Amino acid sequence: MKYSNEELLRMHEMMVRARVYCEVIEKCCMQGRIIGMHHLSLGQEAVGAGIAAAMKEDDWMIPTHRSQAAVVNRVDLYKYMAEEFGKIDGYCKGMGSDLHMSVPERHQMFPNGILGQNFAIATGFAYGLKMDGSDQVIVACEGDGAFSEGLNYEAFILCMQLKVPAVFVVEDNGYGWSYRSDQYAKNLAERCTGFGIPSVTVDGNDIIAVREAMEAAIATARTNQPCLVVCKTLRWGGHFVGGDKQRYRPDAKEEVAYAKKHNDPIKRFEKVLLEAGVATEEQLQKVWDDMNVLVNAMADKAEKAPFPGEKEAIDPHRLYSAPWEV
Amino acid sequence: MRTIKNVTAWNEAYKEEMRRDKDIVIIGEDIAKNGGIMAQTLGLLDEFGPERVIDAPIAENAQASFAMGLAAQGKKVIIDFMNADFMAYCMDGIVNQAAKQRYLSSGKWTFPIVFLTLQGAGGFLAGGQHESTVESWFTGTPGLKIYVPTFPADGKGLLKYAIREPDPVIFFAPRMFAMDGEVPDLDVDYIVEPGKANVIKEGKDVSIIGYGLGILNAMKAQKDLADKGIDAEIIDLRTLVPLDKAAIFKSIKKTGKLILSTESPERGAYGNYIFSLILQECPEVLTKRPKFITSKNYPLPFGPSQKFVLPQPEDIVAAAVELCDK
Repeated sequence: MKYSNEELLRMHEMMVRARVYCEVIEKCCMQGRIIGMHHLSLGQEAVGAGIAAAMKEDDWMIPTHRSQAAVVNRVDLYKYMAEEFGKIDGYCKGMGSDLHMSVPERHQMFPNGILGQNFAIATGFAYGLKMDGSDQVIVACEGDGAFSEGLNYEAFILCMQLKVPAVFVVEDNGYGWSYRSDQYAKNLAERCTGFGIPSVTVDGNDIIAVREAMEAAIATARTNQPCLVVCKTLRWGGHFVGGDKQRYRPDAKEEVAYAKKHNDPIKRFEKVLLEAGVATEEQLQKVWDDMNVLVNAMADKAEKAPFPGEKEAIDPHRLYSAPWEV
Repeated sequence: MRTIKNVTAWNEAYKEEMRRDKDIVIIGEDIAKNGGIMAQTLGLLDEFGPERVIDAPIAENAQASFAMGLAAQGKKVIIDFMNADFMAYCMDGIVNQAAKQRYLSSGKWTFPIVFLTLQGAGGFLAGGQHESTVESWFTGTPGLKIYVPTFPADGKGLLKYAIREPDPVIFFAPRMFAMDGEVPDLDVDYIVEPGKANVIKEGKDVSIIGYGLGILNAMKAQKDLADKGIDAEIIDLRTLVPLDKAAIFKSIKKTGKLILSTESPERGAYGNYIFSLILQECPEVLTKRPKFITSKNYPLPFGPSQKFVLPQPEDIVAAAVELCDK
């Protein structure tokens, strides 16, 4: 096995962190303790955690609105949560929520409220990394739905002309809100090969498979060859918490029940860890218990924190770097 | 002082700034190997190399997003879109990305991007989809700066300033790329600050205020006005965001009569904002109702019948005659 026991346990904890974070946000939504739309990555933990585990700390990432599983493992958890609550303790003073959160000090660009931008923006950022002669890469994520935007294909043309250190990840969770991804004429990974970009499709609920594919992709990208990884998984919830009745998904209950029983990325990995003797049931359970205590305490703190005020909202220096007039 | 063409002034600005700052990258269609369709970027590829001077594929949307990513990474980016109409392809990159991401991050990023293009009618190119004036597509979006120089000295000074700006600037270059004008000698690092209108001619009878074709029309009308004994004051705004409001108020307080002279179609025109400012600030200084000389609410046809849509110098003469009771 390529990864040490310590590393395997770290990956397990990363997935548990993602799951518990999303469960707590979901609970806060249902209890009316948080405002806004929350697009959770429940059921998709192996994708985000696998990506985060494969990246170096100084590799850059452009996440999606559903990338909690990756982002919780790259930034300070409280400042992330406070930003998701829209509070002034957040990374961006609550001005953007998690949907627009920037953490340049942790090499995180913003997810985008406009789908389809990430691969094109990543192309430009990667070009700058290449100009600097750095060996950093940028990993840009999109969902199966955003991958329909034409801008993605313009980006493929440009990134192959310029040969940039970028990895594109398409997290195919079966649904672009209500648009099923199984209706596309071809497998998503076939789209970019026509532009010269190599691609691979992996089982997105197998964290080892995700991590190995990402490590290979990142190594390739470091040679200034962009590449693409499609991770296949399943969205357990609706498009966002509380606001999506999923009329388009009449078998949602059965589909998710089956996934939770037979294809839960964390349960699958725990089975491997137990059978390989890497951890005991008690050790694994402790990770869950500790995480629940930690994250719930953070939610309580975030709930009590204030929202940003006029000083933050009406500030010419937050709008312009060199304000002349607003 | 020397007399050079607009396009030469821009070429000088590019070269001076790119020599001064090696982090500047320019991208656009046909700007590298071809030196630009008006030779505006002639010599840049030879002097600065293909890494900094990039021929873009016909993918304006990707160009704008590329600029966003590259600017976030720390470089300064100029995009030459060729004709303003083409910017419709990348509205998102400009109004949803460049204008907003600094603010949503609560000030963490700077985006030093110049979105540059020719705009306006002239030369019978192709009419409606090549020669429009489109500043009003952008003036309603906070977070941008908008420059509208007409003459070579302003073009050079404002382009140098725009490139140095840490914020996104939309630089509308005038269609009259071959128009001559006086500029300082090459040993002068010539900068024009935005937000400062230029009083081209002082006068006491009527204020003719505008930019672009509106100013050229005003100057063409000058001889007829003088023959009729009308002493017009002509003010070139040069930038719309920031706007030199003080210069506008000062002039109309002096003359009491206003002709607003621009090119963009009247209904959504930026000039309406100027009227609104005057109405709120000092409507009592106007002794006559103001005139708005600008295009009619039509797209541009191809060819000479454009003159029925576009404002003409005769329209300014007629307006001035009426206002001054001549």
